[in-house]
Amino acid sequence: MPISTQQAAEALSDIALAQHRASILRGYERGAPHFILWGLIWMVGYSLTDVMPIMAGPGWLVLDVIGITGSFFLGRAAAVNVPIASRNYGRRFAALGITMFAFVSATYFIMKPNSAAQFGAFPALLMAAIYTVVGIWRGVRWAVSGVVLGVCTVAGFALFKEHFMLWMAAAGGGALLLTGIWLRRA
Amino acid sequence: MTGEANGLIHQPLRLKIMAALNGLSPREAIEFTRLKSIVEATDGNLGAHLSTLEQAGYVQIEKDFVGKKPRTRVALTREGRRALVQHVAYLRDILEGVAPTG
Repeated sequence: MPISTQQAAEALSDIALAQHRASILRGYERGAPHFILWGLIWMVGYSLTDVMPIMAGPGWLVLDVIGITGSFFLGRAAAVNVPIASRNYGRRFAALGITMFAFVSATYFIMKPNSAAQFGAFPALLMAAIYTVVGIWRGVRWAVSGVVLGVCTVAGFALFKEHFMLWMAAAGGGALLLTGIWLRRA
Repeated sequence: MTGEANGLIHQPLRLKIMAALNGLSPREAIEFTRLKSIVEATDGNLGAHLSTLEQAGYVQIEKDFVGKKPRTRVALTREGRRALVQHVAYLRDILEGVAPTG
C-alpha cells in the first residue's frame, strides 16, 4: 500500500485531531454532572442567603459539604474503567472543592468584604475565572461557561444589588446547570 | 519500532475511529453516539466502518439496554491497538524517510 509523504503527514494530523477531540469531549462528559450538582447547590444556597441571611453561614457550610461529597462520588463513578493514573478522580475533585473553600475563606479573612453582595460575588467570580482558564486549554464550552458566569455576576452586582442573591441563584446557578446539560450533549 | 502499513486502518474515517478509541484505557468502551460526535460521521457510515473493523478483530461492539433504551458501546481490542501502533509507526517512518513512499 504505497503512501506518499503528504498522505502520511495528513493521516498523522487526522489521528492527532481525533485524539484531541476525543479528549475534549471526554472532559465535557466528566465535567457535566459536577456543573449540574453545583448549579443546584448555588440555586439553593443563594436563595437561602436571600430569604434567611442569618442562616447563610451554616447553610453554605452544609451545602459545600454536600457538594464536595457529591463531587467525590461523581468523580469516583466516572473513574471506573479508566487508567490507573486517573483512578483517584474522586479524591481529586473532593480536594479541589476543599481547596476552593479554603481559598475563599482565607480571602474573606484577609480582604474582609463589607457587604453581602461582595461575599456572594467573590466565589462566583473565582469559578468564572477558573472555568475560562480551563476552557483555553480544554474546550471552548468551559470558557463560554466561565465568561457567561463572570458577566452575569458583574452585571448582577452592578444592576441588581438589592436582589443580588436571588439573581445569583437564578443566573449563576442557572448558568452552571445549563452548562452541565450543554456539556453532556456535546 | 519498525512500522507496518495497514490498508484497512488507513481509510480516513476508520483511522479517526481507531485514534479516538486508542485514547481510552484497555477495558474502556465508548458509546456509539459519543463516538459519532467525535469522528463527525453519520450513523450509517460509522456503523459500516465499525463492522469492517469488527470483522478484522480490531474493535469489539457490545449492545445492551439501559432501562428500555438500547445502547451500543465500542472498544478497541488488543489486536486493534497493536495494529494502530504499527500503522502510526509506519506513517512516521515515511516522514522520516525510513519507509518507502508511494
